[in-house]
Formats: sequence, structure tokens, C-alpha cells
Amino acid sequence: MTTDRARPTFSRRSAIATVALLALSATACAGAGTDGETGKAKVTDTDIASFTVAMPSQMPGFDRALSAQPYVTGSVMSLVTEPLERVGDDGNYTPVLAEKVTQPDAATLVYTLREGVKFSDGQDLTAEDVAWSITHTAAPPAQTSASVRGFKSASVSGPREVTVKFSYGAPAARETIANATLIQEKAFATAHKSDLGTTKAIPVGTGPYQVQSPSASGVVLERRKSYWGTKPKARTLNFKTIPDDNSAQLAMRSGEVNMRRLTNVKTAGQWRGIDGTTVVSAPSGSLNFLAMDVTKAPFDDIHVRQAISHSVDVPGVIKAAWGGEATALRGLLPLSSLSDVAGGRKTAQSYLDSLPDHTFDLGKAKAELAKSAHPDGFSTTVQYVNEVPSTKVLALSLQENLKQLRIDVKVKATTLNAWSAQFYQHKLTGLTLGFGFTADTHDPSNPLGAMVGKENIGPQKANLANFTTPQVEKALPVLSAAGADAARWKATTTILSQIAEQAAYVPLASEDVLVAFGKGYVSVTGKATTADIGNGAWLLNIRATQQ
Amino acid sequence: MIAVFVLKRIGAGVVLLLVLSFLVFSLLSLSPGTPLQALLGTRTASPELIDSLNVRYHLNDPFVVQYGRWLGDVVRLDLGSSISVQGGTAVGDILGERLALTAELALYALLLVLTVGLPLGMAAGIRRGRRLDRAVSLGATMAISAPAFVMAIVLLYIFGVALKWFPVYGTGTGFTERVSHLTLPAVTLATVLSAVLIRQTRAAMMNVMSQDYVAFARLRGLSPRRILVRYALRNASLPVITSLGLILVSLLSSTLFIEQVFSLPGIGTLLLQAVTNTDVPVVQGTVLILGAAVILINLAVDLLSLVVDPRVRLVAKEGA
Repeated sequence: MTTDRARPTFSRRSAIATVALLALSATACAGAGTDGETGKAKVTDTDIASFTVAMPSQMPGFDRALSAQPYVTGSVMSLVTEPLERVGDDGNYTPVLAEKVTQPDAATLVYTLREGVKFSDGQDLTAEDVAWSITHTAAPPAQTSASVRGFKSASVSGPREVTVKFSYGAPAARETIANATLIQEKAFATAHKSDLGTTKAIPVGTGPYQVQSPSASGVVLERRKSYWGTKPKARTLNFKTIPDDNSAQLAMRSGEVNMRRLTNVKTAGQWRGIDGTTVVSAPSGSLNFLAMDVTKAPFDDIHVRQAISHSVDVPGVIKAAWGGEATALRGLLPLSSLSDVAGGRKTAQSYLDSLPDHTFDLGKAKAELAKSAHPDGFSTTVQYVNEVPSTKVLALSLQENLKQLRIDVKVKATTLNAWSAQFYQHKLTGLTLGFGFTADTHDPSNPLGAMVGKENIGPQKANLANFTTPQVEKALPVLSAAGADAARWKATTTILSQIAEQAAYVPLASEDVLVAFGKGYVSVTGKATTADIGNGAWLLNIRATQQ
Repeated sequence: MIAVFVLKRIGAGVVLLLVLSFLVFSLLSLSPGTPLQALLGTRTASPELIDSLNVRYHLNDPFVVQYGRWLGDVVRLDLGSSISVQGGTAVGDILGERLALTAELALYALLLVLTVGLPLGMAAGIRRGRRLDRAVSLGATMAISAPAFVMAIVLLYIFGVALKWFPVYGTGTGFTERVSHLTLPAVTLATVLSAVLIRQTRAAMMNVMSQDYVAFARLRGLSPRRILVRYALRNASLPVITSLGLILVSLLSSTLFIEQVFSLPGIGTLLLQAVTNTDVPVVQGTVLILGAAVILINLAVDLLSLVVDPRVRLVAKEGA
């Protein structure tokens, strides 16, 4: 049971995806108002003949479950093979193929399917297709099975009904299924077992678009005439692979590209400077933090950890590493992961505000170090990752500040591959810059439940600080299983408070996700959130404007 | 004799490819990170998932067994399937699509290099020290010193954004569109490499034009055209052909950066993706194809040298 619980959603790709692709607060965001106006441009309801999206990398496959980058594949293929539900950034569910979802007990979900839905090849959507798609997503060898915790079975329980069983009451089970599963036609998939997801066997879906002409330079989606739901505005969607950010900017200047998710948040100003371009932003669940191994000297000394926690100039680092557009984290989790279990944003925010303050104060840092067993300082090493530029800024800033405490920090460059290898082997001990972890559901169990406690120490585990206390051990099982909100909120606050008091992890910042819209286009919601991108809503929301 | 020479070279090429593939396989094996990490990211996965992926990609097999399996497949003309770059797709299919684009780009750039570099280099060599020579040499120096990155962005901005003469990214479909899309990248590549050819050709021409047989031909009253074509150009062609071979090899290796800036899905970007993701079958397949291309280009250059220079033929005969 423990092995299935609460896996962190850090990934090498999310390392790049979150650090490079997630972005900062949008200032030029001209959010759509209730009057249908976006800035000076009036949002229209007219069809868009062709809309081009610049993608930073080629989609590694067309089947989300088998893709090496499920999030990237999902951002395109969720328009072809639809999810059962879409989960918004606010945690609200929008029904798609599932008309109704019930949860008779903590380990069971029952989906009632929409009637009259057909696949793009004319076949009816059946409960059999849905049960197969969920199993295909949630069971090995699907890569996505890593994120569907505790999955046991998915079976047809009625003509339009599918029942999903979990081996235990997994928190956020419904949200995980909604985010991870894209429904495809079982008959086609099983007939193409060996090459499903390649250009030779693109999954058949019920979505508003169909894949045309897939190639290494991009993918074209054509709108389906016989789509069961509300037709999106763009008749043709072109996903073009433009890896280089400068080239993407030039393409938007020339009008050849209409949308780009920014790969380098520090270039936000340049994007905003492009005539007619609007950059919208939304908070993300990405986590950047410092981890200190509480079992190894000198970090086994709480005063050393407290000293270091007061030596991190978070506002300065936000400005230098992310161009001034990231949100400082007060606790190890963002507010969005806490609101549901806390019973509201206000309660969650109030709790976060009450956590011990680790603001930048070298006076306090010196005082803490003086109380430690290492009052004269010590030497340590911090690694930064070449592919993640913000880690270099963080490392250098820390080196400079700790110099004043006579702590000699050796800054060492490494590659993402090497860093990941150490992560897997649980060799990232000492002082570690944590990045690429994402709170991808509205539940605190992930990744918090994987970053503390005895059961999460060791290879393939994510407790980088090797941190646990008796209070944490008691609270962890409550956090990691479904249950009453009050009890789980108490467990969450216990763990977060322990982390803050013991300074095992020092939360730093969370980048926002930035998306640039070219001249003449906006998102009807005024934003494109991490969830919107992953589930395809970002392209269902586009509208043409009248200048 | 020539056939023996070619067979020997092909045999040596096969051995070289074998060594190259083994070295690359070893280096990938020694480098931190595994294909499994690239596939899963660093999400902590269940033991069942890890086992199933290890079995599917034979990742638990010893190094020698893995290499042997790959080599056995290659002998049967099967380069395997991509693990993470294009999961499940045959490496041969991926390479086929990517290689064609890179080859088109390289040939286009080579054409530009030849049409610009050769005449300018000859003219500069013949008019040594004169205004034309100085202008060409200055231009070549500037071209060879200009950072390709800056040049690519400047060209994109001027001709793609401001003038809108050429597209900013992508490959286009059909011959005309493809030529239009490849023009700016080919010009960027050709600018630097033309400078190399100009300097080589200029030096060769200068050397030849100062030879006694050229002075004697002039004294005999032969026409300048005949002197240039029959005497100077033929004698200067050997170093020029050699440098053309090097240029073609450079074109294949330089495409990585150019493909990245101009968003061209060629062999260079594929190799970068594959190495980053530790996609061993794709890296091995790409290296094998690039290695074979380099060997074949060098062989072609040597054969061309045999054709144009009888002295080389003689040496080859003795060697064979």
C-alpha cells in the first residue's frame, strides 16, 4: 500500500517544463471582462480559419498514456481524444464525456457516460471504450500509471456506466483520473497494439478535432463537422515546433504564429513588446525550494538550517532568476493545494501566514549560526543544473550571502541527466536546490506526502531532506489516504508546521505559466492556466478580436 | 585496381562504424541517467511499472548483451524503435524523414558555396593584391568571423519579419515552398563555409598562377581562358576538392544549430533530442547514418581526386 501512495510529480521533463515553460505574472494581461471586452479589443464569436501554436518541442507521441511527455501530448491530444471531465484551476469539474460522477466510497468512482457520443470514425462511444482507456492509462506499462495512485480496476457496470476501483482510498483519485485519462476507441487501439501512438496509429477519439498530416515539423488538427458538443472557434489548429525562443518571437512578429507558451520567463518583456501581443499569466503549482539533509552534518543542526533559511534573498532571487515575476512560497505547498482540504482559501491563507517567517535577514542568520555547533562556518557544495538557469542564480545568490556567515559554498554545475540520476539513487543529500516538483492536484497529499517521512527515504523516493519527526510519522498516513477533511487538514498543517519549524525545506517560489497571444486573438477566460494547457481548454477558449 | 582501392576503403569504413557505434553505446551507458529516467521523468513509479519498462526495453540486460542485440538487429537492417523521442516509432522511419531534410539543406548550402565561393576565390587568386582581391578577402574574413547565431537572427529579422520575403520557420510542402523555407538557413550555412572555400581556392590559384608552366603558357601566347581552364583550374582543383569534402562534412555537423534556430526538424535536432533523452536506439541510428555519410563523402572526394589528378592515381595503384 505504501508504495502506491502519494508519488511526487517531479519529473525531468517537468524540470524543464516547469522551470523553463512556466512563467511569471502577466502584467500585459488584458483579461476578458464580463462585458466581452478584452482591453481595447472586442471579443468576437466568429470562426477562425487557421490558428497556429508554436510548440517548444516535438510531441513525443499521440497516445498520452504511452508518451514520454504526457503533459505535452495531452495539451494537443485532449482535443482529439477527450477526457471524462476537465478540472479547472479553481478545482471545479466540467463534464465532458462523463455526464455524472459519484463516489460511493473512498476507493470507488462511478462514471455515468454521456449519450449519443460518436468517435470520429462514426462508431458509438461505449462503456467498454471508457473502461479500457482508464485501464490503459492507469496500469503499467503506461507511463501515466505513475501518477494514478492505487488503481485497481476499471469495469463496465452498466450500459453507460463504468466503475473504477482503487486499492485504498486514494486522495484526489477523481482529479487524477480526469487529468490523466483520454478516452480512445478500444477496437482501434487493440488492433494497433504494437504501434499505437505513433504516426501510423493515431488514437481515434470523440473530440472536436481530428489529426491531419502529422510530421516532425508539427501537427495539424482539423475541426470535425460531426462533433457532439459545442464547436470550438478555430477550424484548423497548426502546432508548429519552434524550439528556439528568439525564433518564436520573430515568428509572432511576422504574424506566422498566433500563440506561444513562453519557454523563458525572463523574455516576458520582449514578448509584451511585440505589437498587438498579449501575455497572460496564471499561477502554477511548481515548487522551488532548498532541501537540507537533516541526518548529515552540518545540516543535522537546526541552527545551521535556520541560519541558511534566513540567508536566502527570495525577492532578489525571484527578480534575478525569473525576471521578477514569480510568487514567493510561504509554505512548501501553494495555496491552491490547500484550499479544498482547509475548507476555503481564507483558512488556508491564514494558516500559511502563521507559519514561521524565514525572511532574508543576515543578522538573524548570524545569530542562529552562532548558536550552532559550527559558529565559525563550514564548507559545503551546491549543485545547479545547466538546463535550468534559475538554479544557477539561486546557487550563486546563496554562495554570496553565506560568504558573510563564513560558510564556504562551492557551486558546481551539473547536467539534468546527472542530477536526475542522483535523485533516483537518493544521492542528492546535503544542501539541494529542489526544482521541477509540481503540486498538480488540489490535494496536499501530492507532493507533500512523498517529501517527508521514513517511508519516503531511499532510492526512487522524494524525501530529499531525509526529514521525519514523530509528529510527521503520525500525520503522514492521515494525509496520504482519503478521509474527513478536518482530519486531513490537521495532518497537513502538522507536517507543514514541522517542516517550517525544523527548516528541513525552505520554500522559495512558484513560477506562473505565461502564454503569449498574437495580434487579434485572446483567451475568452483571460488566462491560460497549467490545467487549461494540459486538458486542451487553452485552445477551446481562443477567440478572435475586433480591433 | 580502383575496385580494390574502393573495396578496401569500404571495408575500413565498416570497421570504423563498428568501433564508432561501440564507443557511442559505451559512452551512453557510462553517462548518468538511463532511458528509463528519460521515459518516466523522475516521477517515482511503482515497481511493477519499472519492471514492465525494463522488460520492454531490455534495460536490465548486461551491456554486452544489449549491444549485441542492437548489432544483430542492425545486421538485419533493423535500427530498432525509439524509446522516448518518438516512442514506439521505428528509428529507420524517423531517420528517413529527418535525413531527407538535412540532406536537402546541405545540398542547397553546398550549391551556394560552390556558386559563390569558387568564382570569388579564383578571381581573388588571379588578381592577387589588387582591389578585387582585397575586397573578397575582407568579405571572407568578415563572413568567417560572424557568429552564425547572430547572422541567423539578423537574416530572419530582415528577410522574414521586416521584408517578409521568406518564412521565419518550418519546412513547407512541395518544391517551391521547400526552397523558400530552406533559403535563409542555407544562406546562413553557406556564408561561413563560402569564406572557407574562397580562402582555399584563392591560395590554390595563387600557387598555380605563380608556377613556371603558367608563365610559359603565357609566353607561348595561349589565351587567358585556356590558361585558366586547362592549366590553372585543373591544377588548383585538388585542394579545392579536398576542402569541398570537408565543407560537406561540416555542413552535416553544422546543421544542428541552424536547424534549431530555423525550426527545421532535421538530423541535428534529432540527435540533440535523442542524447538529451538518452534514447539509445535513436542516438545509435543517427550516429551510424552520420558516420556512414562522412565515410562516403570522403570516399567520393578520394575518387574525384583520382579522376582529376593522375599523380594520385599512380599512388593509389602502388598502394593497391
